[in-house]
This record gives sequence, C-alpha cells and structure tokens, in this order.
Amino acid sequence: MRRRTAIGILIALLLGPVGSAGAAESYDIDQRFGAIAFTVRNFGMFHTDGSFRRFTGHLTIDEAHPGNTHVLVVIDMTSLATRWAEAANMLRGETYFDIAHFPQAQFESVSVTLTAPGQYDVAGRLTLRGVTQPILLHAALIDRHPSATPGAEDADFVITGDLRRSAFGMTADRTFVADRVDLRINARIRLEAPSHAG
Amino acid sequence: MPDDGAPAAAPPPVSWSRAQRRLHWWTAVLIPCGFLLAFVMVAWPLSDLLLKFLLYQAHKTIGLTVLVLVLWRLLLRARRGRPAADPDLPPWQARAAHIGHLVLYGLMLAVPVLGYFVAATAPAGVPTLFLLVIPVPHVVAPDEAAFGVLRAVHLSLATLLVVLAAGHAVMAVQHHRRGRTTLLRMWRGAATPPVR
Ligand code: HEM
Ligand code: HEM
Repeated sequence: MRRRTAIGILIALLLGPVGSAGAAESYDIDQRFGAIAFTVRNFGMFHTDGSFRRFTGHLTIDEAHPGNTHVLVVIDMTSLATRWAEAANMLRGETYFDIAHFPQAQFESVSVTLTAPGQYDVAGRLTLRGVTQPILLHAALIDRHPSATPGAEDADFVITGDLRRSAFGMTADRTFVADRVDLRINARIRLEAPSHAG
Repeated sequence: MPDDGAPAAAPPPVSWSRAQRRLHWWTAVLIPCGFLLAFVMVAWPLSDLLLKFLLYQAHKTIGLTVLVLVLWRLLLRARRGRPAADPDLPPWQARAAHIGHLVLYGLMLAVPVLGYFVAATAPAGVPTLFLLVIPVPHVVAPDEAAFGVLRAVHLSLATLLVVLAAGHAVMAVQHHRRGRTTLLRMWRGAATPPVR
C-alpha cells in the first residue's frame, strides 16, 4: 500500500537511515496542509507580514536514502495577502513582486541534511521575479499527533529561513523596508498509520 | 496671610500666568499645523513610503503634544483659575464665551484621543512613535470597521475644532479692536481692568 510504511519512512527521515529498503514516497503539498508567511522589518521599529494563500508542490522521500529527499513548491504570487489590502496591492506592483510579469515563484531543493533529530537543513534554489538564487531553509519537526482523519497521523513542520530581497532585484523603499525578509512556512504531512505491525 | 484657603474662596487671579499664556499659544499654533498636515499625509502617495510614514508620525506627535499641553492647561486652570471677564462685558457675552471655551477644551481633548484610536485601529498596523522614537502602545487591535467610523468622527470633530477656534480668534480680535484688553491679557499678561 502506498502509505503503509509512511511512519517507518518518517522515522527513517528523523533518525537517519535504517536498514529496510523501500521505494520513494511522494506527497502533495498545497495550502490545505500549510502556509507560507513572510515578515519584514520597517524602519527598524516594527514589522509587516504577509502570506501566500495558494501554492502547489511535491515532496519525495526516499526511505533508503533520506538525503535524496526532494521538494518542489510553486507559489501563486497573485495569492499574496496582507492584513492591510493596500499593502498587498503595493507588493503586487512592479517595484516589488511585479506579478504582472512574474506570476509564479518557485522553490526547489538541492539537498536535505539531517542536522539533529527532527532538524533538517534544506538547501535549494528560489526563483523570484525571474531571478534564481540559492537559499538555505531550516526545517524542524515540531509535533506529531493523530490526524483528524481516523487512523492517520500528522507530522507538523516549521520551516524558517531568510533572504535578501535585493538579491532578487527588489530594491524599492530601502530606507524604510529592510532588505532582509524572514520566511516562516508551516507544513503538515499526513501519514496513514500502518493497519498492522510490520 | 498664607494663601491656603479653599480654591473656591480665593479671588480669581488678575491675569493669565505666563505658563497659561504659553500653553494657549502653543496649542493655537500646533492645532492648525496638525490639521493641515492630516490632509497632506493622507494624500501623499503610498509609493513614497518613508515620507508618508514620517508625515503620519509627525501628525500623531503633534496631536499627542496637544493632548498633553491641554491636560497641563486644565490642571493649571483648576489650580489657579483664570482672570475674570471684563466687568462691563454683557452677561450674555460672558456666558457665550464661557460655553465656547468649554466646547473648545472638550474638542481639544476628544480630537487627539479619537486620533489615538484611529491610529490603533488602522488596518495598516503602523505603530505610533512619539517624536519618532518613543513607541506609544496601542491598547486596541486593528479593526477595519471601527477604523472607518472613528476616522470619520475624528475628521468631523477636528474640522469643528478648527472652525470654532477660528471663530474664537475672530471674536478675540473684535474685542481688541473695540478697545478691550482681552487679547493683550492673553498675549502679554496684562491685568483685567478695574470696573470703569
Ligand atoms: C489636535 C489634534 C488633531 C487634529 C486637529 C487632527 C486632525 C486630523 C484630520 C483633519 C484628519 C483627517 C484627514 C483625512 O481623513 O483626510 C486626521 C486623520 C488622522 N489622524 Fe488626526 N488629528 C489630531 C490628533 C491625532 C492624534 C493624537 C493621532 C494619533 C495618535 C491622530 C491620528 C490620525 C490618523 C491615524 C488619521 C487617519 C488618516 C487616514 O485616514 O489614513 N490624530 N486627523
Ligand atoms: C486652535 C486655536 C485655539 C484654541 C483651541 C483656543 C482655545 C482657547 C480656550 C479654550 C480659551 C479659554 C481659556 C480659559 O478660559 O481657560 C482661550 C482663550 C483665549 N484665546 Fe484662544 N484658542 C485658539 C486660538 C486663538 C487665537 C488665534 C487667538 C487670537 C487671535 C486667541 C485668543 C484668545 C484670547 C484673547 C483668549 C482669552 C479669552 C478670555 O480672556 O476670556 N485664541 N482660547
């Protein structure tokens, strides 16, 4: 069964390789299972945050080789949202995300390294405003609990990282809006519990 | 004899104190400045983010300064009182002036307090930084619906305040032209004339 061994895979992912061999498992990622949020400081005194409400992606976990874990996420830039609608309009504009020309952003992992139990460094490439730059994200497993779907289990991850927006050619309002943008991504992976041991 | 009797029993002072006069003129300068600045800051384009932010902070700083100055002024007035009106002023005029001044004081308190709540409920979630460096905590969260109402009331009462203050200034000049010392008393601290 496709997800029978998911728990085992997760444990493999958490603890490093275990003996058993198995095929790569694949998970869909989208806004139903997570959120992509960003925060930027203004004037060094306060911050503004926003999020992307729609994205799609794919996570592949190779049970035998956790290092081969691969993730690809495509973000729908039109789904940008902020608490204040006018700020979102400004961010969609040419001087910021320029979504008329670049309606999508993309993240693709290059390598995933286990640094401690439940802690991963995810190195990858981020494409924003048509510019591709390397980026390092940090993923932490924060919780595992029974899912709302009977018999399944959810693993919650928090993925953090930051980028320099100027590296993507986004240089507007540098005196007011900091160059560094912090990312915070919540992701939930739904694992189906094995129906019987083994 | 030491001046320690009940305030009500003390005779009114013969003139405005220097502090009372200074506070009056500072508010008279700051209120029109804050009022005009409000329209500039609202119209300023969002694309010029830093300057728009600075204009808002200037407006809020001016408004909060007015609030502090008015509270100080009311404290002095409660403790020290104010000089009596000209003895020959028709009673209806004295009464009208008294009511007018009360309304001005009320508006000078209400407009900045409302302004504070406009700032706190604004959906942009921009903090209030007094003099650009002292954060003034917002006790209520951003709320679009409340913001819309508060903003309209803040604007209306601010307009009423400025219109009434202008009428008040015209009246003060009128008294001056007719030879009364009302304006000189506020300007230079002259004493109320004795009964003629
Ligand atoms: C003497 C005191 C004040 C006066 C005469 C005054 C006057 C005004 C006026 C006329 C407007 C309307 C502008 C418009 O909507 O076109 C306004 C808006 C505003 N005021 Fe004040 N104000 C005063 C104090 C304050 C204070 C103390 C604060 C905050 C701490 C404040 C915050 C605001 C904010 C946030 C707006 C809304 C601007 C917007 O709609 O984006 N004001 N004020
Ligand atoms: C925003 C502008 C102004 C405000 C809010 C304001 C407010 C007030 C208030 C509340 C009082 C009563 C003081 C008290 O009884 O404790 C007062 C007194 C006075 N104001 Fe103003 N004022 C303003 C501008 C002006 C201007 C521009 C003038 C002159 C051209 C002026 C002339 C006077 C005079 C002469 C008095 C003394 C009145 C008296 O002795 O009864 N004020 N003002």
